Amino acid sequence: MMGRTLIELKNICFSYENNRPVLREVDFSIKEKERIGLIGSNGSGKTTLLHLIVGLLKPQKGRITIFDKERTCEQDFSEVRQKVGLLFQNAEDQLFCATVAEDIAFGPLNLGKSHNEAEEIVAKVLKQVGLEGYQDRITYKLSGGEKRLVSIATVLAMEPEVLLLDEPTYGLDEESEKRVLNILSALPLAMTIISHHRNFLEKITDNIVRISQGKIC
Amino acid sequence: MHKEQLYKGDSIIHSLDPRLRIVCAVFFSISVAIVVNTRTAVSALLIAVVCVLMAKLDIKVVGDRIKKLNFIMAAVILLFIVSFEGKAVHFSPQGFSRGLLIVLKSNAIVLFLTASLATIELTTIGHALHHLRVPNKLVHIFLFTIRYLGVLHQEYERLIKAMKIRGFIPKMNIHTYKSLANLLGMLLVKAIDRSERIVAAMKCRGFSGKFFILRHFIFHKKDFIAAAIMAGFVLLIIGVDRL
Repeated sequence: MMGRTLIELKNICFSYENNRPVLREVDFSIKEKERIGLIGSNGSGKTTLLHLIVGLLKPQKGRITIFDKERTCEQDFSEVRQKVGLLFQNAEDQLFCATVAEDIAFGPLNLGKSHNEAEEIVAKVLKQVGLEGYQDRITYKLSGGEKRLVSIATVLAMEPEVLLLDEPTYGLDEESEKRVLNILSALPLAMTIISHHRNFLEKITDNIVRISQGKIC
Repeated sequence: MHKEQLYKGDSIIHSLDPRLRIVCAVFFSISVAIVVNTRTAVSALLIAVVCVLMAKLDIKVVGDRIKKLNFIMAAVILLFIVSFEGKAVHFSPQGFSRGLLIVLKSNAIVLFLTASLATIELTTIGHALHHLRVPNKLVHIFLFTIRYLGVLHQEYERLIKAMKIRGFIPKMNIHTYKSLANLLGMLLVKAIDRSERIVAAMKCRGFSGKFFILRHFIFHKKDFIAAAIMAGFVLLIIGVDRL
């Protein structure tokens, strides 16, 4: 039923500077259009796993294969980051430009798009998240829910093939949570979603895996 | 926290190109600063007042700024007039005219800056500076500061509240200084952590060290007219003053 494997982690071991290991010989894979929910207690290594996939952290042991190519150095991963979008837990960290339009255009401009193309992408993704006409709003004046939607838009603007979402509903009210749920459900992309809410994950993902004591089960 | 409400408005000043307004503010301030003649200083002040009126600013907000400035200026004048020699106190009339010149000049500059710069939104100032060829790094430090000053302030408020609900009352003692030092240290550590997360987020979106600016400004006919008028004023101020 599922297509080809997009991301494959094999035998991954990781620990932060001389501390106890966070991940112990973990295997993990994401196939085309597959939606995986990731749960686990605080500090169990969920975020670490996503950061390893986009190369923000480097494993001490193991192989990371993404789009049929083994990824080791920074250059490999900067290629990966164009196709694998990571949504951070805290929208304040993700939105660093002054206006919404600039923030969303940041990615596309880095990828070498022209100003006109970037403006078009901005309008398109804002429509996708239901915030049409927000281009000139000042990011620090947005509400918590709006900030989250705009940060989703910044990730979508990269036109990714895989989405990695780190607690996309963290700190949101019921109304905003529903909006996020609807937006994500409508996307035809492979996703991995971290959340503490089993309910939310059951609505949106195909299967849920748990990380516990450095292992995926 | 964000006290920049003056940028909201639809006056003729608000509609001028921000780049022009920044350049005017710089030249006007320099020319007024080197004035030595009281009469020229008065005319500069008049020009500034007219600009404030043209910008249709909230008089109360502007008045507040002027009040704060002149409070300091009163102390300056006092220093110029009064001098002590042993136990005798001297009053100097030349000191008064010197002091008056400084008061006039500073008021003129502050009023003009209020009309020209406070009417631009902070982020737009950043972009205008970029287009005026201010080094990229400085512009981005400026823009990042605007973006994260509020976030840092919120973090500070959260921490200070957490201290207060546990009975913290600032006093003149070592415990207070230690606690405040902890608070500052915590803010610093959190700020560094945050900056690392922001860099990570930027990398994820293909950042490789170069920033792009999305919007551009356009110089209109009225900007040329305003530029000519301001150039005239600045030349007059410098020229007439030395006659």
